Amino acid sequence: MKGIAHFTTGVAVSTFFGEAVRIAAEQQSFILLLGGIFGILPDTLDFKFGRYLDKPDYEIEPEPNNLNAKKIAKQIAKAANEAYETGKTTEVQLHTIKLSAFTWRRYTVMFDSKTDSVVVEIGPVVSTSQVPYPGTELQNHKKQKGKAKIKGKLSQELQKPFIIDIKSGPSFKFERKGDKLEVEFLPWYRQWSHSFTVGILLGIIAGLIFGKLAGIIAALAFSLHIIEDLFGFMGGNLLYPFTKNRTKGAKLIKTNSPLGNFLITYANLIIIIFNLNRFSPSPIITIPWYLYFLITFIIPGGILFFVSGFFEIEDITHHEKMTAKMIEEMDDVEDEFM
Amino acid sequence: MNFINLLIYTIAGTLIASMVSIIPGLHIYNVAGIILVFSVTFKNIIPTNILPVFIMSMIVTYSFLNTIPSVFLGAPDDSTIFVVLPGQKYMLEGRGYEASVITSIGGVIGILLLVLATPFSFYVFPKVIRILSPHMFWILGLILVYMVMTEWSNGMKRAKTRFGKFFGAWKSLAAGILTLILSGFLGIIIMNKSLLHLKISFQRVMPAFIGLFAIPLIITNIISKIEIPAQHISESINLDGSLIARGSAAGFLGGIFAALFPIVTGGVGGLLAGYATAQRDERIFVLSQGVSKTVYYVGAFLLFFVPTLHITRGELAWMLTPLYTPHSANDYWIALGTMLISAALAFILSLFYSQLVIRLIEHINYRLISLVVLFILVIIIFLLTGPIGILIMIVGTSIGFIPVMFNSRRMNCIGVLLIPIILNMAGLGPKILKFLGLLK
Repeated sequence: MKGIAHFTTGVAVSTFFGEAVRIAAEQQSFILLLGGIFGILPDTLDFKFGRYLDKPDYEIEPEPNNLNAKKIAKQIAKAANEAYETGKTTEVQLHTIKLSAFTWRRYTVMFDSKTDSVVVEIGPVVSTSQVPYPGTELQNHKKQKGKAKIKGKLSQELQKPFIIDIKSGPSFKFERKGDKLEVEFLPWYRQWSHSFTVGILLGIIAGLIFGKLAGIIAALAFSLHIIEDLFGFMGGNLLYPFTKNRTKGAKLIKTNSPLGNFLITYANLIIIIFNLNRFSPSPIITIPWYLYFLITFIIPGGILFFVSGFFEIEDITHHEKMTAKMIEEMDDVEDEFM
Repeated sequence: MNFINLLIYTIAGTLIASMVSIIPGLHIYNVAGIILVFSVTFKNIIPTNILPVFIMSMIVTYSFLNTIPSVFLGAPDDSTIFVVLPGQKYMLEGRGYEASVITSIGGVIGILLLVLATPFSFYVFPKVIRILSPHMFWILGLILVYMVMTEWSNGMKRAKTRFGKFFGAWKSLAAGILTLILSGFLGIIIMNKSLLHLKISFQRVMPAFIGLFAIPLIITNIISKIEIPAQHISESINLDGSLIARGSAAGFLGGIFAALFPIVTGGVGGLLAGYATAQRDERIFVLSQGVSKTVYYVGAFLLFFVPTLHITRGELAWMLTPLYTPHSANDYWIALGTMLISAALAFILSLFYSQLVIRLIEHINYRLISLVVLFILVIIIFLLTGPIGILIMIVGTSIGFIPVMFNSRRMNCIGVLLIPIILNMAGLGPKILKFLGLLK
């Protein structure tokens, strides 16, 4: 889910506390702000701190003028095989291929569990919006695709191609578990920062500084972020440091889903207005709660959900097309690319 | 009111605003402020009952045409700042005209959505505003916090050490936070110290705004070796129903949010709506910004005419309040009619002015145009606000250069308005002023 959905969820939950709403209105307290801050904090900790404190063992930086998919595949396989052979975890960071201020060269990486290999495909030049420029694919077919064998049986939480184009590239951690080699996507993400234990700890700290109510709001907003994330593809390391691994998500909502993000944010705003009105000394909306939510959310949200199916837009980034093609062609990337 | 009179003043307002809007950095609020002062001094020029019509046509036109300098001359105001990046990218691909037209189409959609939202303006928005009013300060605080917490690092380079990576990333993050804080300080000073003469005190934010938002980009244009490619004037625009629906929904949400909340500008509203709807396609983004800024500027002013409520949102409504009070629903319908006529004219003018500016940049050196624009802005500030205004502009420019240099979000400059207003609303203003030695 996007940050704004978590942010508004944090604020929405804080408005359920009548006392907090009252002191905000009467004493100009910023207590409700804590809901928003702690609602988005798990991601802030990851993206502003966690990712920079992570130290990969291998960094792969493809040369823009000498691109070779096979070479990239072999570099990834080397890190994976080292983890399998030594029993120690290894981590590899893939970097983007920046060509100019506005253009990048796309490439895709996929771990194929069927053949226990890593497949790399160099894609077209793309814009900052990830839109490919037609006719920019590599002309040298042999350098366009590459495959490298990995020792051990591959096991991964996300069985999909990873597209690397703009901003920064992903990292992978390889860890041997028996005869299996586990591939973990973004090992620094949703670890300690996405745990209820850290949420409670931060809540206690907030409580000591700003008071008990602020502490409860902070811990609740933080925890709701973790719960919301569990509906996505990746879960969280829920009871760190007592648990070591990230759980899997329920895969019910995609992080970038426009409709999902909008409906959650909208629902939060409706709840915030409802609670601010409810705890006001002279409420302005006087209709029963069920009628309020029916008129403001259920009906418009339902219509939007129904109508949105008619407004599907073309995937101009070609991400879906490219990943589907890669999965389809996976078996065809044979020995000539190894 | 005579229909012919209304039409004449609507056309006059549209034409005057169209000329003002293509001067980079010059805000319609400043020009409207001067016109209001003139209309009070020379009562026969614009009759008081026509004044809202005249101002409405100006704000509608400005909301359409201010994209042109943003796209072609790289100087945004506070609400068009998010059009700049994709808009300028379009221009660097020779498709600036397309960006300008998509934004104007967004403007037309914004106007139509405002008409459709009339029942909401009468029955829903006033209630929402009344519920949220006692909470405005922390809601604005939320926006500020969200802007800081979602600042994206542009500096994660291939540093060898953890510290190197951390430092590289935090350079731009820290620059964003520093911009926000310094703009806030500037805002606190200019809003609380009577630096300008009383007669022109309503222009107190103008030099800071031009310094923060416009001049850094114009100077960048002058010193950079940017080559402007030939601009293609396309005959058709690649937009389908789905893109229009999504862009319009996102833009309307952002615009109406900005219109309802004081100090929140169309750019901030557009940013939040963009996040809330997770839009990625550049065309959706550009279209949504067109919708958002029109709904923001025009919608905020339209709220002033809601019968018996006349909610004052936006600087123009505040300026008009001492001179004019809407009395009946008829005033609302007149304002709505003016808005529609002016929008139709502004759309046509936006096509004309876009082509005009394209010819200009094709025939005259881009750096020379930027130099002339810089000169015009400095002269305007000097004439309107004197040497103190120039000084404020220089301070604003220095702050506005931080995000340009460190590639951080320029929207942080909006701290010039957000921070002092939030502090005042929370009752912390006097304490801060005392702490800074600005209040004895």
